[in-house]
Amino acid sequence: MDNHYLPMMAEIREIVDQTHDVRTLRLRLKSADDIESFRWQAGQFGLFSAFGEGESTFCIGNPPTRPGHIEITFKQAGRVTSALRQLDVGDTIGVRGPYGNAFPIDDVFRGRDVVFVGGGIGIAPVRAVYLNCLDRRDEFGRLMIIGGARTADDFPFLDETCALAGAGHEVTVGVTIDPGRESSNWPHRVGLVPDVLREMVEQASPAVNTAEAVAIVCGPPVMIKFTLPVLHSLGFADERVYTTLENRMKCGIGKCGRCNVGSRYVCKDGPVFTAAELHRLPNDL
Amino acid sequence: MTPLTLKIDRLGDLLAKMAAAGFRIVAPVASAESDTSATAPRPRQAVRFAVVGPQDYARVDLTATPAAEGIKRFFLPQSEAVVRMRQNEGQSAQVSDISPDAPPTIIFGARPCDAAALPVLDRVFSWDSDDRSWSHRRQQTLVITIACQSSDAACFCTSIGGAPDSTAGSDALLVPQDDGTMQVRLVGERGEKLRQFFDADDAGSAAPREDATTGDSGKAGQVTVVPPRFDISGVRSWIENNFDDKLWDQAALACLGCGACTYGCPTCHCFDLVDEGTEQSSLRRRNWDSCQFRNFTEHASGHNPRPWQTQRYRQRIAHKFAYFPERFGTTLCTGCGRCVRVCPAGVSLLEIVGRIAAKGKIEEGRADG
Amino acid sequence: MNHSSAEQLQQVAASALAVGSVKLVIGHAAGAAGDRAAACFVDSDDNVGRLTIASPGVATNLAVYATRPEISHLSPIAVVADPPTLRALVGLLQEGQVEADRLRVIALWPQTAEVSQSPSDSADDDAGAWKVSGSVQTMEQVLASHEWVAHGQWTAAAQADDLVERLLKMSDAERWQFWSAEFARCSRCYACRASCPLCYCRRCVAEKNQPQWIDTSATPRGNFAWNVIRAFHLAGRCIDCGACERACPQGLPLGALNEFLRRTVAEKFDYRAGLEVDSTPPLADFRTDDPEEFIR
Repeated sequence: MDNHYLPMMAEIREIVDQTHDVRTLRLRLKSADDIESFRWQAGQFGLFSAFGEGESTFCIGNPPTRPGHIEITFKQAGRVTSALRQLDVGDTIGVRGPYGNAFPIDDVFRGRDVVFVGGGIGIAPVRAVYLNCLDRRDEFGRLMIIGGARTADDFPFLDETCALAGAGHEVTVGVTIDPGRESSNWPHRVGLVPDVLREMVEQASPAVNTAEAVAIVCGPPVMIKFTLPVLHSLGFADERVYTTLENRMKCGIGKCGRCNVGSRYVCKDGPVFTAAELHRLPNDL
Repeated sequence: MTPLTLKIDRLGDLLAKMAAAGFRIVAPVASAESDTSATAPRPRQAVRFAVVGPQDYARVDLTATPAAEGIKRFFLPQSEAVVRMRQNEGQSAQVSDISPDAPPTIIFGARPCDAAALPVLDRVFSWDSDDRSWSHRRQQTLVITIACQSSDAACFCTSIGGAPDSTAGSDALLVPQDDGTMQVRLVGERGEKLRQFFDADDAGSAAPREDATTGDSGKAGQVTVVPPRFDISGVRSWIENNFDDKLWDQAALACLGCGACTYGCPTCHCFDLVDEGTEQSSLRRRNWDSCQFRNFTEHASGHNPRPWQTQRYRQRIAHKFAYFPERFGTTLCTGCGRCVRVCPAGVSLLEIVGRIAAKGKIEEGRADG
Repeated sequence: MNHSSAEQLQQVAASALAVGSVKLVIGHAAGAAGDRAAACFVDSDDNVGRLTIASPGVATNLAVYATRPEISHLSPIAVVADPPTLRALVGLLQEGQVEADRLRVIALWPQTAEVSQSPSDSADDDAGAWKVSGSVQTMEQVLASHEWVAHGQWTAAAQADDLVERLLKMSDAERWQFWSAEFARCSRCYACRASCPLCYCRRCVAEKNQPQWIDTSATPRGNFAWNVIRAFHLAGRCIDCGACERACPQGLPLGALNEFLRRTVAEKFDYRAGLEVDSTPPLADFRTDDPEEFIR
């Protein structure tokens, strides 16, 4: 019988600093068996160990259409993320996963228009999904990406996001920062994410078929709180609006009793939830 | 099941036989606490389950109802190393598995409310994946329970579908009789493994009785009666529908947020995983944890979904009486009452669930009428 | 009229609530499990009848609620306070953790030298062992009273002296063995901390992880660190109420640790905790004329 708390070993292959406190690590599992058996879908997460310090939970940032490594993007917040930042290329970290559920790209997204909304560090999980869709472009309708952060300096993957529209994909991209935080040479949008979302969807031509479309929102709780009503008022169905929840986690496999929101375990029933499911959850967030 | 008999004065012989067969014996023993604790002796706290050798058999105390501490830690240790990590200078880190290695064990003299927790916890520990450590210990351990001859105001097993002579989770149940013997009921295949200890030639033990009975209760013997304290039928739906009710703000205002109730509880199983040591050498440990601690759900960002003690207390009740039943089909409680007895602030889960049950009945009545 | 002390207490509480001088009375009620009293929160006539006088041997120290955020917004509060509770409130005032003008007390004074400390006596005090103050008072009023002078140092904690004397006679190795056996039972439930009125830190040292000062695991190392460090953090502050030891589900003799440090502080600094609001616990204070060189 397996020891579910025993991590797989992975080597850090590349370190990219997205902002002053957000870092991306690209990892490669060390054992060929592990590489072979590590099959994941966008939305799933892993638990990553900084040995001697502990584990942290991060979404797997690269979609299965871009295999060969495991990418995590995290903000420095506490003991483990601080320890992970001390590591160099070539160092070893532990990986447990993939855990949790995934965005139902095959079952639900195919054939539909999809709107992706990411705020701050929430851009990382949303990115896994839109890269997945861009890699399978023909299977989807209109694709629209809205990314926002407080300032240009807090915007992970800013350059990559801005470059998406020009890279030959058929995708509409809007990038925005908070009002009052723009520098004089900021060429993109200024405005809060919910407002930019409304503007972009309303102005889209041809129109986005919101009644049949899918929307994905990830970001700080306050952003989600204000974005969900906008999506609803634009005509998106609650069953086709997706978000990810996060909670403090330890085991990741539904045994330690810590990550529940009401009767739903974020590690088993999530981290991907629809807005419809969210509305049925108690105020335990 | 053909009942067997045990004479209680042959207890030492019985334990010795089990030990001779290679089993580690765990039994309730009166601890020497009253010698060391400066406060007045508290009988309810002085009996604990411990590994016993021949020198301890005389101290085995089967009367405490229930013992101060249950048998949970023989299945889910309080602190257990699960992974070892090493990193030598200039080399990359290595992890190694630490396998659980519990010896074959017989827990003798558990209470039905403690044993009943085991099949309940089996459900979460085998949900989608098996917790190896739990499974291993369950496999290695046989549980012999004793029906309760006494109970107190905190006992409420019968309100949760249990009983002072329930066999749930037991491999054998001993029911005290009026003549000073104990009727032995073996349960299932695992119970059969225990028959060898009760079958003997000398007159003192195992003569199969003629009046074979089935089911948990049979002849009452000396089994205590635990009156139902509340009607559980409306509890789950009331909790599901009244998450924001002001009952939650008031009910456990006295709660101080320690882990005494959760650690004493036979069904509470929440745990922490921590890495202890240095970058060069550390152990990953699995430790008991409590939803009553403030930092149980605290994010690294500082955000806490349950910043108030009243919310944390609600979680405990809701998890036990609503979320776990929804998911696993059974209540995460066996009515042992330990939480009521041990709370330093006098918070009574029994009293609070009783109030919820009453409200649940009223709501049910409204819904039907 | 011969009202029981509990009835007198209820009357004092009821009148204070009625005139609005306090919003909440924190006292004890009969416990659910026989030998432990429950803390109760009375805010109206409807529930004032629950108030009883619990034997200190079965009750937690109610001063612990004065700093709980769930309670403090309901101020002004009145705490039913025997001398150890009053000393804890003095400690909280010394350390700026409660505001004197939002705090009231209903003082209880022991009338006999041998107020029962037995945990089995949780029944209402009909024997007249306690005198209930005739009215709700401020801490200033209580500390100026003759009852405080007479009874302020009274303690309900069963004496840890015997155990301390035994330990002092042991060799280092024997003491190590003694405490190792005791701490082996510690389950890190933190009932001791939760029930201590002077353990009010929003984030306890045991909850800090950058660095992890104290291992959270219930290992010998973690348990020694936790129990000893907690005792040290209370040195010069512990008011000897015994709540920690009563709370401990594993029956650890925590009082002995605190008693030893209390004696040491008394000897070295001529100081006892919880008696004067204007003094400062010696380990929370330094002066430029302190004799120790290392502090300069």
